Amino acid sequence: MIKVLTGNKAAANGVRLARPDVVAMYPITPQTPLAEELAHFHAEGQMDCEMVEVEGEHTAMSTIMGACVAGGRVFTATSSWGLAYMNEALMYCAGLRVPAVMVDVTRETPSMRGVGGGRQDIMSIRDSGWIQIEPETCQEILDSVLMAYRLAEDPDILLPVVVAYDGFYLSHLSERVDIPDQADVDRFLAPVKNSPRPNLVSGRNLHFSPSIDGQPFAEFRYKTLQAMERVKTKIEQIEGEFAAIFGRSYGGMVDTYRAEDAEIVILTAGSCAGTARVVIDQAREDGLKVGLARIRMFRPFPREKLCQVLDGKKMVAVIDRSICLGWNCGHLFMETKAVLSDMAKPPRMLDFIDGLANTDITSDHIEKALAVAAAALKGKETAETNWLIWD
Amino acid sequence: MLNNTLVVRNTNCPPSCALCIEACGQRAGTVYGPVIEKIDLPEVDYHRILTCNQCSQADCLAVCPTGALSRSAAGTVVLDDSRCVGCSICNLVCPYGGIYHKNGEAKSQKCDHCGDEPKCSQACPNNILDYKKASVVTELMQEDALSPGLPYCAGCAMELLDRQTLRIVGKDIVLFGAPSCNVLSSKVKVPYYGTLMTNVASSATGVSRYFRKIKKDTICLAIIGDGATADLGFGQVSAAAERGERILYICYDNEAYMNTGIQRSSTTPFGSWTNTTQVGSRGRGRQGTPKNVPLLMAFHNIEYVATATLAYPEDYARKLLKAKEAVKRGMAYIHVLTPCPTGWKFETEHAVEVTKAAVETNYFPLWEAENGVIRFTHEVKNPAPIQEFTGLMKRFAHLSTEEIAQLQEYVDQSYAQIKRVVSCG
Ligand code: SF4
Ligand code: SF4
Repeated sequence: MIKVLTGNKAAANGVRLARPDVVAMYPITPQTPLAEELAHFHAEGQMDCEMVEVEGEHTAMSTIMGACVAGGRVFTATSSWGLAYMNEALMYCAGLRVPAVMVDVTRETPSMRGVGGGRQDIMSIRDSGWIQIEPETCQEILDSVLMAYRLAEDPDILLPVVVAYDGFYLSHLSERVDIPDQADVDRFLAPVKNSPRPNLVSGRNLHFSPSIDGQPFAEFRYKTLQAMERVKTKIEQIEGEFAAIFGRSYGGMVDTYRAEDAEIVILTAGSCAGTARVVIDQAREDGLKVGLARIRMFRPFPREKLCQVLDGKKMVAVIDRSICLGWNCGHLFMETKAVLSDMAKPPRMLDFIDGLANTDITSDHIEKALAVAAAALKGKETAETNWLIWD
Repeated sequence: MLNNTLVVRNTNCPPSCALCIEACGQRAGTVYGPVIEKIDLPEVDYHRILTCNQCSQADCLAVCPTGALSRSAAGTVVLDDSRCVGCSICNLVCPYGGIYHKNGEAKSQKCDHCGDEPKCSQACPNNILDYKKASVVTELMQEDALSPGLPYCAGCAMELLDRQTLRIVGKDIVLFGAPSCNVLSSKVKVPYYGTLMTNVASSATGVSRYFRKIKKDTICLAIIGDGATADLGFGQVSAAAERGERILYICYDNEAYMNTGIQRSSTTPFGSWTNTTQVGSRGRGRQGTPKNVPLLMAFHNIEYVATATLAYPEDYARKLLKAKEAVKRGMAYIHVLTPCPTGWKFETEHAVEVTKAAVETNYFPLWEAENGVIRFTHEVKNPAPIQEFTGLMKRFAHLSTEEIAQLQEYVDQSYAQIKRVVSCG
């Protein structure tokens, strides 16, 4: 069914179709409409789940973790300070390899009263063990939620997944969304019944506890790391199955656009990729060989895939929506730079920080970034990190 | 099976008293005279009562060739006089002299609890003989889910608490534990979920909600210390209570963070030494009064709240049973004072004595709250002075007379506060 939906409502539909057993949420801007939409579905009898009206995000995370350990399919969503507040339970969730699914509607953290979008919040959990998917459109949000459950619950993975989409720019943006049929979703993502993974209802008196130390702990962590690596092939396989049923796919870990023969690649994530596509089309008409690489999965980091896409390019212009304090650049830039040494012919890289606290990443800004990158290629001296918000 | 018991206190009777024996001799249907005896050894000042123990594994019963001995519904070993041929084999196997021939009669005789109303205990003015009816403790005991040998300090009351709780609540549970002395992971034969210090109640919420979704009645049982309950987990405990989550939450209160080496918690009493409320030229132990968590929980109007101790195991067992019922409808909370010999600084054999003193001084009154009504379950008529509690341990050893008086005042105030909300009658 085609509908015009905001990102939050698209996410809510994805969650409804995934048939979770337990949902626990605490409202926070810009996630609130998602919480309300799920409460609405529940009140209307469209979701057969336990809805836990929790007193805070720490409890939201702890509750879904408990229900997931017990054997259920679960969901929570948060943003910004809520994500920070649940951090202890969130790290525990990934630490114990509990396959929970969460949405983070991304937002700045150091601004107390401001509720500006940005990616700073989600970057704070990048090494926690959560798989991170970053959609570009409302449709991709819904589809990513469904894929997230497949990924999390896969016996080869068993790690939690967060679908992190841009606060306001996606959460409150209305787009055309194709809502899949329940029957098709059930084919793609079977409802949880007698979950084969270790749980509390298996009758086997299993113990879930972090009370391991030393070598067994190291072994557990080693296995977690391996599971994270397996995500890289698993996501392609899952997306293949998804495409076969629903006819949509997003390029696995890195989505590209006109990148094949490009000399300059704009590298970014999230909603501003749409704007970048428009700018790229224009630049191509002007004869500039430019393309797009959109990171769709930040964890695991698409090291091999990026290497494939970027090796031999002349220039990578990164557009970053978060800042990495202590590195004088954004996170995307910093992490991509770590991949350069894998490449035979590494490109030059420039960073463009923009879109903090809900400021627009406009087509003007991206054109400007492109112009700076092109000039630098021609030999103009350029700072490594640039802020597009001022000239 | 019910197990009524005649508890014989291990204390001297007055040398000349024989009221129980007289009463026994006069009981209805007696043929051979009294079946309770007194051993008088005046030279060593020993005057004690001896009678049948009604052993749960009674050898007499097993060896009797005529089937004259049997177990009654109340758990008493009874002798059918008409079937006894007086072979006296049972006399030989009883290690306690509880069944015997007397005065050359041809048949054995033994105590039968006077058909469930022992005259001896009714006659005793000295509280030596106490007839306990239907002890829920033993009656309800199921298989012990804990493995033998646990890593508590010697004399810690927690092992008693864990074993009794698990044996009464049964094995259809998920057990929750937080980082503490009481981590039972890999030591207990039931599903176990180790949580963070902060999120026991929320983790249990998640599990119990999933159980509700799949229509499973397995009990979510949390046995958690005062730190994780009263301090950093309190918000979540309170929220779970407010939502009416189906959690059986037992707080074992040893009045400080013991596992990390004895640091103050919000239930540490006034004056108590801990490693973070030290005694020195300026420090006088913990100042101020502790948080009354069970009372706060009662004000959440959850299904069941009680205080309990292991010095009164039957009281605790009854409360556990009520909690086990209540948790089908919502949250049940029991606050158990659990003395820590290491942190309170007393010798290992005194945990029960210390606990008893806590109750008998009104330091830790026993009560329960059901359906909005709070009532005492063990009212202490003449409370002993607080020194009878504080004197048993070293954590209060530095207290001056004035400080003891202040602690007494706090105890009195706290008791009066509970008394005000306890319903009359
Ligand atoms: S007679 Fe002896 S063996 Fe028999 S029940 Fe009494 S104490 Fe036990
Ligand atoms: S420190 Fe205290 S509470 Fe902990 S095991 Fe030892 S005696 Fe028990």
